[in-house]
Amino acid sequence: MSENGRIFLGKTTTTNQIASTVDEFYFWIKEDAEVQPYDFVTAIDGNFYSIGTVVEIANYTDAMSHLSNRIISDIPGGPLLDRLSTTVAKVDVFYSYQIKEGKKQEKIYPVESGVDVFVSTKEEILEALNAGQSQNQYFPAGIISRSIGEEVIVPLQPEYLVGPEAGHMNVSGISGLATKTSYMMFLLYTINKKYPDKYINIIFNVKSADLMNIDVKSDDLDEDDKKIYKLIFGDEIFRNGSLEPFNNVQYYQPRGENGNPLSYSNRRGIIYAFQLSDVYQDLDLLFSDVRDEYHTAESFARFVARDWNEKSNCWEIRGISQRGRGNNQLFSKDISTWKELLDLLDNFTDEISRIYGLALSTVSRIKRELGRLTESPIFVSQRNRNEVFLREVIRNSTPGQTIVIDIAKLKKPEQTFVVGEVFRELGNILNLETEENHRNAIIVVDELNTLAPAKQESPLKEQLIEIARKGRSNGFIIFGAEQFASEVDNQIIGNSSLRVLGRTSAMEISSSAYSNYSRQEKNTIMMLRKGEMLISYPTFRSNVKIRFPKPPYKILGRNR
Amino acid sequence: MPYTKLGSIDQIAEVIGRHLKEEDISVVLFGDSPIEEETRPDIDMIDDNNQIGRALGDFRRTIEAIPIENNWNTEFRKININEGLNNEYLLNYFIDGSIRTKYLGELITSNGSGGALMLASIGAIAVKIDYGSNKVLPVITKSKLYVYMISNLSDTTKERIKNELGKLNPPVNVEFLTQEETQENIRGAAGGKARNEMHNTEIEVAKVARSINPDLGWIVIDGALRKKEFIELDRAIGVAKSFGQKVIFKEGGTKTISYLAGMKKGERSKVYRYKILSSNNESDEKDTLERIAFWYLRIREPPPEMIPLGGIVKVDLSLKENNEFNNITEIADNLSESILKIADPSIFPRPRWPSFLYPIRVAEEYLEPILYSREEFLRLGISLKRVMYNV
Repeated sequence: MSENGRIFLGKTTTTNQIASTVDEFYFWIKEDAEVQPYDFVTAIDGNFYSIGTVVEIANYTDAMSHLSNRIISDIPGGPLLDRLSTTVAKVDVFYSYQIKEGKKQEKIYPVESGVDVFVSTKEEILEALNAGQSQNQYFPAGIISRSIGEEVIVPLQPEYLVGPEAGHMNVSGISGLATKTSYMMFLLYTINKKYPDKYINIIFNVKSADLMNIDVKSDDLDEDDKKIYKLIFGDEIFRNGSLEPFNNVQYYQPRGENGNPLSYSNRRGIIYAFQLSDVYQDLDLLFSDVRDEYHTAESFARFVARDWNEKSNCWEIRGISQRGRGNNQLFSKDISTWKELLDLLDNFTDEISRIYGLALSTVSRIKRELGRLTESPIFVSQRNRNEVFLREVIRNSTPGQTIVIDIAKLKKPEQTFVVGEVFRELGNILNLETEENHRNAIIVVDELNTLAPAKQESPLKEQLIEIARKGRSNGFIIFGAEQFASEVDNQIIGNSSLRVLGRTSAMEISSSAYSNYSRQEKNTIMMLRKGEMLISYPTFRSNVKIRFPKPPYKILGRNR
Repeated sequence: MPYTKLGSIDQIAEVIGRHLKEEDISVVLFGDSPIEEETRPDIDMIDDNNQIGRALGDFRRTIEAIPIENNWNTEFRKININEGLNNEYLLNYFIDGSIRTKYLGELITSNGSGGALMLASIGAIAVKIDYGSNKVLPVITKSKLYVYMISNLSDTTKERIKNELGKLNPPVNVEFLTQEETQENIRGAAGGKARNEMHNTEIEVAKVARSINPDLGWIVIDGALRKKEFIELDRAIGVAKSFGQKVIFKEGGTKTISYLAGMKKGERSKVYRYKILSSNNESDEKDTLERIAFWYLRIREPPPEMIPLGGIVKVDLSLKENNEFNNITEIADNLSESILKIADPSIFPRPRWPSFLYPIRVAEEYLEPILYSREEFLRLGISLKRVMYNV
């Protein structure tokens, strides 16, 4: 403890080889000081303050080589004397300022050698995270654990997460250990607690029944989780001793055989299904994972949309069918269901080929693909009155509502189609929006690497990129996650203002998607534990390691 | 703001520059020349030879050494390393001094006579072994800055420079050397003065260290015992990494110093005294050498590419009033054991690493920032130019 009551850690050090810069400085750590990576420290040189996080700690001795130490080990019992030794921490600067005439002014300047370094106060940490600006409104992104014990909430300035300055979040990390979904849901929860009726929450449940109980109280929160929630929201968050989960939640499950839900969950939500007449304009989404180098499947989808008669609600095929030389006949067919569509392609291959200028082999291929893609019971000739069309649900949703769309039990092409439908509707809303009917939505979607892969074009990917590019200014925000960020399109990652990394494998982290992380940060990322994340954010000059609690709803099994 | 020496350097330049200007003396600066000590090889050995030369009154002669132990007959004696520490022979304090001298430039008067300006940064330190924590810790440091001037300055100017430099914070010492003192070697003369002052500073530090705990252990001086004050210090030894080689050992027959090459790690030679005849000139050096007993101890085996005497240290011990030790074998054995125990860790691959005691290496590390750096010396030249020529 120093004279002014602060906890003294050591002094800054520069050498003729290693300088301090406006971005970083080093300090030697006094013997009994407690410092760990990602602790916040403050160097104070008169009225100049430089606040940052410890990113690396290294111990040095005066041994000029490992061989020197090896030689010593030959002495029976080891040497009596200890070597000169010091432990040095590297600090990434977050914010530096000087106090001039009683006011704090940002001063971007390196710290000199020999300056005292202390544990940062809570106020200094918040100053550093907010780059000196006081924040009345913020989203809590988690907490910073500190060696001295006191924890600090990490504030995110809203305009950089949900627009208009920047938007979107991307979370990546290995399955299970990275706790990606939990983090997305935690942040969604905190945003909704701060702004209860501002956002429509659209959540895709992609595995098991993970997100099918988000309105059911958790029975799994430990004391540490509760402590974090209390720190963030105060004691009043625990009504009747337990934490309120999400409310105003509606679950949508895909139609299965006999109209039963196709779901891992026992819950009975609202069934969704697709008639051809619902999605005749979106057949390209259905072909998303079909290899289509010559855009023939895409052309077919466009012909269907073009010739669709909205009055009679069918695909009107009209043209000259030539069966044999000089034997011209008028061909006319009306198609309104999936079955009729498949029958048409089965029985009138030649006619479709001639009328639309498609090769016979192309029509046959489309027939095969359509047959494969629409075999799921979610594709129906006629929805019953209890079954809904998802795009209508999205269209009619209202702020404060949480929509969970279960796609866990669907096959991959069907999942892609459902997600694509939702995003296409959001795109439509985006395009038709006026100041009067403006709505904000947060869409939580996992497995982005299959929806917007880095090396493959698809209509769905285009749709996602459009939302990623334009959404921040219109209030449509994507909370996306994937195991491998390297497999997701750069525009999705690049447009995400909040980038969150959970534990990540060594092979993945060596890819170019992580090139802006330092070696020390990469090592940290590979060793993160459950409930720990490394986050980067536009207002942070460096990355911050945070902790967050388990989500406030019931989680089935051992998933977090 | 951390402390730098630059402010005091500007003050020194201001005083010297102003007075030289008043006397119409110009300075031809040497600029970026290296620090003197970096250009001079093995100063300890040179000093050893000089000390012996002065004691004998002849710099060409070798000195004879005669053994004062007759109770064992092998060439060398293996030192037993016992477990635990022998409190009676504990080596507690280690004294080391260092200097950096810089030849700043030549002084030229209007009548054409020459002179020189040199700076010497002198430091000494006492480090202590804390046998509780096994760490080597600094105890006392002292630093001095000396200006050496050789020029025909008026007495008034000399006095004024001396007074004004002495009043600076920290005070700066100045010495005016005569042309006779310097003869042809201005740098060597000033360097010799600086080394002498360094030994004086070591003595000051050693006395303070001894006074801290008068009954505690032994003091180790880095290098030979060269000064009367060291000899008079209670329980002090000198441990020299390099030593004069113009010694003839009279032990049955006659041996040169190369016989030590056969010594193995952990062995010591017999304890010797120098044989100095009463007919030799009276001098401080003679007085000092007469009161020293010494032996050689191998603390490490040198690697094959190094000279065979590498790894051997010379231990100087001050003899008692009657110049006799009844138990010299026991003392030499116990002190050798203590030295061997604290020699490691080694400082491989730094120069002369086989002969280094680790506490001395630590002392040098602490001394480094006490002394003025090359850049700080350069600053004096620049400041001087600014004062004298407004550039």
